[in-house]
Amino acid sequence: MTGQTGTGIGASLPRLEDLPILLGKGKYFADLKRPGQLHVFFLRSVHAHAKIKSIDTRQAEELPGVVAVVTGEMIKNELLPLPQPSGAAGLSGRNPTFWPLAVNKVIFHGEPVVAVVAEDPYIAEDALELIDVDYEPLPYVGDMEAALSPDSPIVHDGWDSNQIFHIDFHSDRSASEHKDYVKRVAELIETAPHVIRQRYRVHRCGVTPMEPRGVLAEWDDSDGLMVWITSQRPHVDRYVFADVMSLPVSKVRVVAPVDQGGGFGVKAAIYREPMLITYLARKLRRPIRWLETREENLMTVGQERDQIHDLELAADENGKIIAARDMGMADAGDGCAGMYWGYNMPLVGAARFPNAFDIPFCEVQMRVAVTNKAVLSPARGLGIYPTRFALDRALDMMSRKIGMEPSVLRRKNLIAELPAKLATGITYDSGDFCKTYDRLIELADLPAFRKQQEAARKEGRYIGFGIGVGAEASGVHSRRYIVNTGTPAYAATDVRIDHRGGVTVYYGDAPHGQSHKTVIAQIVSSELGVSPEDVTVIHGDTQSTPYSTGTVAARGASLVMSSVAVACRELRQKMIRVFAHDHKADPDYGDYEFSDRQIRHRRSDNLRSGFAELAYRIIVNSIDLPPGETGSLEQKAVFENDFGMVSFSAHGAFVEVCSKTGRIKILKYITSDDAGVVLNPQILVGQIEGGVIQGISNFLFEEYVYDENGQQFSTTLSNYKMASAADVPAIDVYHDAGTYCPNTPLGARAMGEGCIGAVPGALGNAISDALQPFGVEIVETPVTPAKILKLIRN
Amino acid sequence: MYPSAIQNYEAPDSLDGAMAAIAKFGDDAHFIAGGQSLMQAIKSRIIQPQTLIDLQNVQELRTLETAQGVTIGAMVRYRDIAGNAGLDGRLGALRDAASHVGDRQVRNRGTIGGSLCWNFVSACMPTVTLALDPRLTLGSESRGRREVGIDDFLGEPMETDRQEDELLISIFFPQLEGRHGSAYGKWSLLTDGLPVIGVCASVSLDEGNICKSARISVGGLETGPVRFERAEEALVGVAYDDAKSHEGAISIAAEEAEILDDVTGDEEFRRQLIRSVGLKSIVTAFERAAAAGGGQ
Repeated sequence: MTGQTGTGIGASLPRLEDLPILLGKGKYFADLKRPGQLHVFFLRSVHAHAKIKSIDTRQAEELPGVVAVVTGEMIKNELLPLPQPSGAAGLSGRNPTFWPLAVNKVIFHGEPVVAVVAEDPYIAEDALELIDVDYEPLPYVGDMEAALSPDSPIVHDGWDSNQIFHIDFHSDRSASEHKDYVKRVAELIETAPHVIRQRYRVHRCGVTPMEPRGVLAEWDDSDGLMVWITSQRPHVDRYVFADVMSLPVSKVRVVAPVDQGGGFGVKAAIYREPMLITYLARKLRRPIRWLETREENLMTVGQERDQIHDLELAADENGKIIAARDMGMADAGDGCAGMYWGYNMPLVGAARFPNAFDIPFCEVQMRVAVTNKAVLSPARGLGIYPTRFALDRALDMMSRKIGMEPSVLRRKNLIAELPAKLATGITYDSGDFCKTYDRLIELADLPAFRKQQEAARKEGRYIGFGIGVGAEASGVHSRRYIVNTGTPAYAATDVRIDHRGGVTVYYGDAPHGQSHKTVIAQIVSSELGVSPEDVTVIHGDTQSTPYSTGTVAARGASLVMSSVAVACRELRQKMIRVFAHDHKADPDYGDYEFSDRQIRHRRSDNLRSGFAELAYRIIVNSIDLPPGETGSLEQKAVFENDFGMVSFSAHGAFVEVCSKTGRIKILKYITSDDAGVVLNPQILVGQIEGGVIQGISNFLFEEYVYDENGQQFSTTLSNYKMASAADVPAIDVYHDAGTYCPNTPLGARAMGEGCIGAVPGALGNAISDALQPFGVEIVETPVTPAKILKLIRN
Repeated sequence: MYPSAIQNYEAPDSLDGAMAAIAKFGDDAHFIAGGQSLMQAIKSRIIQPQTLIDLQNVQELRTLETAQGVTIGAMVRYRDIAGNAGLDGRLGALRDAASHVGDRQVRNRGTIGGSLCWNFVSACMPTVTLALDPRLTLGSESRGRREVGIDDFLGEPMETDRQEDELLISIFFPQLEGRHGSAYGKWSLLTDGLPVIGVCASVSLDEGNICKSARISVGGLETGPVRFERAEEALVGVAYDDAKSHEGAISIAAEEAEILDDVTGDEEFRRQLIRSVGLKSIVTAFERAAAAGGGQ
C-alpha cells in the first residue's frame, strides 16, 4: 500500500541522513574526543572457565603513561553489580550477579579480567602484556543439554543448577485448565493420522554491526556524569548507570551519537564494559574512552540463535494441523547482560512459535541453560530465527508425508481471521495473511517451476523452491515488553514549532541506520504541510528528549512515527482553532488543509495564512487567543496500544544445489510483505533486503565456533564469515498485497525486526525440496556444502 | 589492535638502499610490501618488529617485463597482474589467481612478492607459482644475488628459503618453446575468500595436441601447497581434450592428498573439491595451451 507522493508519506524521499555521511561528515562515536581523555583496554580471560588464583599488575602499573590498573577485587565494593532494578528483566528468571570485571573466577573465553587506563592506546596495550594472571582451569560447560543435567559442573557459584530460565506457556489458562490442555495436546498427537517428530537445531550466529561498541564518559562535580555511548537505548542506559553508581538520575546524561554504524539489537543490552568506563570517569576525574576492537566484538556480543527444538506436529488426513508440542532449549552463554540476561531471546522465540498458523492445541516450553560462553545478546529477529526454522521445516516435512504440495498445506493452516490470539498468549491485531501469502504464490508461478524442476532432475540438476512465513511484532505493547525486558514499550516524541515555521522533533530513542530522520520529516511534512527541509530531528540525548525505551523491537513505523503523527495533529488543531478565531470562521478541523507551508480553508480561497505567520501569531504574538487557549506550539505525544500489532511476510526462495560439490546457489528470492501503509518504499525495501541478507548469511556462512575447551575460534572476520554483496542474490521485494493497519494513526506496520524471520524456513525448505531425490531434509544449520555432501552420501 | 613500539621506519628508494637497510637493522627489522597480511600480524602483536623497511618507493621492484620470458618484480601488485593482458596462455593462472585475491582494496595494495615471502598456508600465489615453475632472484648486501627455483624457495607454511638479510627481487618465468597453458581455480565459502581448496595446472602440448609435460599443485592443505607428481605423470601423453584422463589424473591428487578435517570442510568434501576444482583447472589449462601459438 502506498499513500501520497511528493515529499510526504508514501514518497521514496531520498535519505536525509546520507549526504553528511557520504561527505565524511558523519558524527560517529569514534569522531568524539575530549581534552585529557584516557584510554581503556581490557585484559580478557584466555580460559572458558577457571578460578583466578592471583593477578600480578605491578609491572603494568609502573609503565610510564599508565594511570590505573583495575581488577574485579578492587572495584567490587565501589560500584553495585547488576542486576539493579533498571536493568533487570521483568521475568522470574535467575539473573546472575556480575561486576564489570571478573571476581574470583572467569566464566567465558573473552571475559574482562583486568582494565588498564593509560594516556594513549599504545601504552595501554603494552601494559596488558605485562600483567600476569594465574588461573586454575575448571571444567568447561559448553553443551546446553549436558549443562542442564544434574551432574553438570556449575557455571555460577552458588547456583544449584545451570538452568537460568524455564517457561511453560499457559496463555490465560489456569493451572488446572492448562493441565487438561496439555493432556489434550498429548492425546491429539497420539491419535493423529500424521505426525512429524523431529529435532531442529539452529547454531550460534547473529548480527555484526559495522561499528563496534564504544563509551566515553566524563565526570563533573556539579553536573555529574556525562556519557557518550553507542546505544539503542540511551534513556535506559541512563537509569542503569544511575543505579549502578548510586547517583540521582538527574546527575546522569547519556548521549547516543547522531550517527551510529548499525546495532541490530547488539547495542540494546547492558554489558560489563560501559559500567566500568562510567565508574572510572568518576574515580579518576578524567574523561575515559573505550572503543571496542573487532576481536572483542566478535568474542562478546552479537551471538544469538543457538536453540534446539524437539517438535511434534500432528495433522489430520487433509493436512490441517491439529496439535503441536515444541520443547525448546537454548544456550544463554553466561547470562550476564542487563535487560536480556541471555534468556529473553529464546523466551520471545518460543512465545512466537505458532507464527502465522492456526494450531488449535499447542504446547510450548522453553528451557534455557547457562554455559561458559559469551552471553546471548539481542539480535534482529530476536529469538524467532530458530522457531521459524523448526515450524516451517516441519510443515514441509508434513506435506511430503501426506503427499501435498507444501504451499497448499501451508495456505490451509494460515490464520484466516484477525485479530487472533496464540496458544502462548501472543496477540495479533489485524492484517490478511492469506492475501499477502497468495501474492507470493502468484509471483512464484509454481506450476511452471515444478515442470522446470522435473526437467532439470533428468539432467542431474537439482533445483528447489521453499517458502517461509513470518507473523512478526510491529512494536510490542507494554504488558508484554515489561515482562520481557523490564522496560515499557510506548513511544514519546516532542514536536516543537518555532516562530519562523520550523519544526523540531525531539525523541529519546537512538536510531542507528533506520532512516528515522527522513521518515519523521516526511510525516511532519504530510501532517503540517511544511517541507522536509523545515524539519529538524534531535534524538539520542537524554537531556533534551522525553524518556523512550529505545530503537528496538520494530517500534519505528508502529509506535514512534505514530506518536509524531499524533503530536502533529494536536498542533494542527490548535493552529486551526486560533486561525478560525482570528478570521471569525468556523473551526471545523476537516475544513482546513495544510500544504505548501500554508493553511487554507478548503472552500473559501481567501481564508488562508502562511504557516510561519500563524506560528508567529501563536508563539510570540500570543494575545487575543480564543478563550481558554494559551500560547506556544509545543506538543509531546505518547503512543502505545495495549495489544500486539503485527506485520506479515511470505518469502519464497529458489535454489540450485550441486550434488557433486554441495554448492548452494540462490537463483531467486521473492518476498511479499504486509507493511500496511508504506511510509517510504525505498526505506522499507532497504530494511527487507538487509534482513533477508542477514538471514541468508546466518544460514549459510556465519557461525560462532567454540572448541571442546570453550576457546573461541571465530574472533576475526576471516573466520566469522559474513556474506558480502557478491555472495547473495538480488531480493525481489513486493509490498502491494498489504493491508491498512487500523490501530496506528498512519495505517503503517513495522518490519525491521521481523523481516529476517521467514528466511531460515524458505532456505531450508528450498534446499530440502531440491534434494528430494536423495531424501535429504535439512534439520540443522548452518548449511554448508560440506554438510550437504555428507547428507547426500548418507 | 595497536602495534608495539616500532623504533625505526625506513623507506629506501633503491634496491641497494633496501638491502643496506636490512643489513643495518638486522634481525628485528621487517620488510613491508603491500602490508595486507603483515599489518594484521603487527596490529595483533603476533610479530613485533623494531624496524619497518617499506619497499613502496623501490621502483626496480615494481616492473613487469615481458620481453624475454616474463619477469615480475616482487612489488608488483595483484591488480597489475590481473589487468595485464600479456599474461595469458602459459601464465593465465597468474591472472586467474590475482583477479580473485581478497577484495578490491587488497588487490590494490597486495603484492606477489609479499605473498610468496609470507607463504601463508592456503594463499593463492604460492600454489600458483609452484605449478608455473619460475626462478626467483634474491639479493643481500653481503652475498649479492642468487637464484632459486620455486620448489626450493617455498618451505613449510610461513617459511621460505629467503634468509633474514635477503630481499626477494623478482620472479622470472623463462621463455619456453612450444605451446603452454595454465589455469588456477579455488573454492571458498565466500566470494574471493581464502581458498578451502585451490588447484593450479600448467601443461605443455606437442604439435599433435598431446601433453608433453604437466605440473599440478594443490593449496588449502595443512602442509601448504603441494605438487602431485603421479598426477602430473598421468597427464603426459594424454590428448588435450581427453576429459576422462584429465579426471583420472586429478583423482590421483585427490586420493594422495593428506587432509585433516576442520570447521570449513571434512576430508571427503576436500577431496571432492580437489576433483571438481582441479578438473576445471586442467581442462582450462589444456584449452589455453591448445589456443596458444609458439613461444610464450
